[in-house]
Amino acid sequence: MEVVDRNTEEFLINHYSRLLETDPLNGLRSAARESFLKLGFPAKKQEAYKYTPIKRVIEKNFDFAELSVPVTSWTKEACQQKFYANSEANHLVFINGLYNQEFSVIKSPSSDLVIETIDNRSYENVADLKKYLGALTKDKQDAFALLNLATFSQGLFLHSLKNKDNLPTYIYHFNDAASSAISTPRVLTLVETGSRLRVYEKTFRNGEANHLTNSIVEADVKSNGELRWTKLQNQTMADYAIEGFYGIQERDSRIYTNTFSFKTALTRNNLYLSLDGENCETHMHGLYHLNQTSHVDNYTSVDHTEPNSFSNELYKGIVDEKAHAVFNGKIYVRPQAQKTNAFQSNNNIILSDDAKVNTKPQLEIWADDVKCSHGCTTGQLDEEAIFYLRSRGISKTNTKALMLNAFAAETVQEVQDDLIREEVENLILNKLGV
Amino acid sequence: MSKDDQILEEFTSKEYEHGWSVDFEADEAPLGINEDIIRFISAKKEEPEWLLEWRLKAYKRWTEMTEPTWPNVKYPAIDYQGIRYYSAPKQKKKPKNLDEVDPELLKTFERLGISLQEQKRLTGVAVDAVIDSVSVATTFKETLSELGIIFCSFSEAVQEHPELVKKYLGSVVPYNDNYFAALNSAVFSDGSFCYIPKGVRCPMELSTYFRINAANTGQFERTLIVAEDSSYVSYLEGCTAPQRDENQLHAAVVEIFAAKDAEVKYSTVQNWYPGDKNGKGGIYNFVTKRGICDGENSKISWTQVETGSAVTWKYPSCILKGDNSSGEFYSVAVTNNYQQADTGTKMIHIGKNTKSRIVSKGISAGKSQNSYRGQVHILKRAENARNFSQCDSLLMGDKCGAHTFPYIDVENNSAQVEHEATTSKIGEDQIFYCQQRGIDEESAVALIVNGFAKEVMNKLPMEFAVEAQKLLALTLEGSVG
Repeated sequence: MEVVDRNTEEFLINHYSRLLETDPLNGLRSAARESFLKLGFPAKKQEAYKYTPIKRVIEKNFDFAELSVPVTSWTKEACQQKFYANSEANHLVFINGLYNQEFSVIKSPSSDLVIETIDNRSYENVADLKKYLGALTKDKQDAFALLNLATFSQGLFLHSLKNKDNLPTYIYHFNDAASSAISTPRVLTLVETGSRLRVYEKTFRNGEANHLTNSIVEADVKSNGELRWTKLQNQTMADYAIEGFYGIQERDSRIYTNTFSFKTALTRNNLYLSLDGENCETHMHGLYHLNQTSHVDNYTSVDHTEPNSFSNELYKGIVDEKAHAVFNGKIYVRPQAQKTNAFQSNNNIILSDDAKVNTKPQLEIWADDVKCSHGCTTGQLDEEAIFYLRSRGISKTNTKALMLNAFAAETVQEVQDDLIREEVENLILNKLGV
Repeated sequence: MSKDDQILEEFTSKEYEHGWSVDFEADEAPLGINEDIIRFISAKKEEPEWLLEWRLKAYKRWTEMTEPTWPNVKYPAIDYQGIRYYSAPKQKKKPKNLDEVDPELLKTFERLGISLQEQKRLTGVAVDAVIDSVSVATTFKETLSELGIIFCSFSEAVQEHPELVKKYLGSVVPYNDNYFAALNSAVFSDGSFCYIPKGVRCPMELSTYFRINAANTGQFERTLIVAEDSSYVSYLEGCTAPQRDENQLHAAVVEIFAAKDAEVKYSTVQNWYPGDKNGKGGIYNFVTKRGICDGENSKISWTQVETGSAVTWKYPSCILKGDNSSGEFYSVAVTNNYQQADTGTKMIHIGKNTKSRIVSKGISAGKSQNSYRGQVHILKRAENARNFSQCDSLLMGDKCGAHTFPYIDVENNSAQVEHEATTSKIGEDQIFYCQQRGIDEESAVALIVNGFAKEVMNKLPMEFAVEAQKLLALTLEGSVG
């Protein structure tokens, strides 16, 4: 028998090291592995994870000594049944965190959009990949980003070539949770000059056991490129997720992110955007509509490093029952980033006595000629407005639904894809019991 | 050099006007801190046994604690053994009234612009003056005592009202609260004590003036204000220090206790020596200030104008425990040259229908860093709590920084919490508008800055508002980025 005295972090790494021994990216991985072991999962004292005791939750719900590599129960047909009804689009499938080209449906010609497994590609051109892989997560020293880099396999490489307007791309994650498992998907996105890419992400599961997702998206958008990324997080009370999105922008480029969180045991979204050129534009929208004991923590950081850029952030939350929502927004304006325009807003509605909201909008400004503002509110539905609607014969449920829908609309209308927007709208209505 | 730079240059070379020191004989403890020093201080003060025990307990806790690193400030490590923890102007015996006070001391206060004599006769403000941690003179004592108000130095309170001191000391800021509060609890040498009995409305402003005089000295004073049911008091605090090349530590504790229907207004104009324009010297101002609204309908209001100190680390807070109680925090923090300020407030809502309001204005110039750090915490039982926070920053110059770290924690669904913050510089269009109308650039900046800070200035008592406005003008006139 082996000694059981090792800590969680080591168990995790050892679980994977056997799988990855022959990997050509091993150099990159071993550095991440060392850093991760040194750092460990963030303890409660760590400021960035202050309201999300993630180490405790993970250790309580997952026994890493017992982790197994799941044999998938998902078939090609089962997966493809879940696809959105959009035939002019790419539908990409991840099974338990591994990109599966066979189950995927690709419509974009490879002269527009290169869709590859990171492993396959890496055998041909490791140097090129090494340049981008982990480049954006490197200086953040986030334990989960390091763990992902050390242990992911079969990641997805999305490469949108110059001046192409691409078809919408849907990414589906299919997980098996017959016994507790962890999946580590990774997407590397490269949007070349003047091209445009829209990505939508969603997750499904089979089985009832606890499942942990540790996903990373890296996005490098070149000059005048545009990337829209929408995440739809509606899972079960046995799903735990840490999802990182790391973006960097060249001049005149645009990034739009939309994050919708509904049901989850615990979700932590790490959103890091670096506006590394002049005249960039960044829009971050989020909506969390939580009940039961869901815990969602949105951690966002916008780094203005060059002049004349614009960033706009709006997160809205409806928190019911025993749910707990955390928002941490950080705007960082470096000394040379003059004429920066940055806005940040976080509004919350608390519907029950047991719900909890922690919000921390943060500004760090080192340049003087800037316009930065943030605002946040936490409150409840306006009684006068409720009275107005009730006195006109609208039922209690409908009144609430009407008002909360209006509250959420500002974020929902940001979604360009009709299918996704409708789904989000329906999810909100369902949750309100209409 | 452009005109802007010239004006900036002019203003940065403006000297600190309280930077002199006076030589009077001082009674000092040796440098450093250990149990013997604490016994020495306690013996000097002829303190009762329980207070010495309390000090030693605090010291023991302090040695186990580590200095906090979370504030957004940088300074070289403090050598706690290089500080003198007790220094008192030597006096043969305790003065009964002002005539017996060392004339050199009185002159000191006159130079500070607070003539104790004059104050007494003209303005009707009762002053307790503290030099190098020891209270030297308290005016208006008799007039106040007719109403039952106790306003005296802390050591006097320990001798004459031990039961009150014992009851309230450490009740709001316990000895183990934080690193600097623990240090203060161990070595505090004096301070002010103020007790307003039931139903009394204090007829005059009470004021404490702090002055660090001796070199290598830390100032550790403690202020304790107790307002009984339905009483009211307005309390002022001012501070200066001589210009010295080395940094000096000021770690004070202020505790306020407000019983049912009581109201306490605490105003500070902090003008410690900020260091020279190269960032050399200056006071480290690490202060713990906290008030508790213990009874129903009680109210505590903090107003501060922070213009001095090399490093400031200060969060005047309110614990809103009583139902319907309210807390207010108004602050203007100005930093220039290499000054660093990390200041803000905490509003802890515990009782029902509690209200709090935060207005914080930060102005940074030169190479300074100005941070607002605040917490609004609505606890689960705090029904119908209401908070409004506003923190605005004004930047002058492209080498300074303005930062905001608000924490908003809500655990009750009937709470309404709002927070907003903006950061901007003085608009060229605003200055242009003024200049068009014949107001020169310097006056235009003064006008805009004063307008920016007005909301807070209005909350200051009249005597202080004048001083604060002068200070603000002195610190910022013409410093357009």
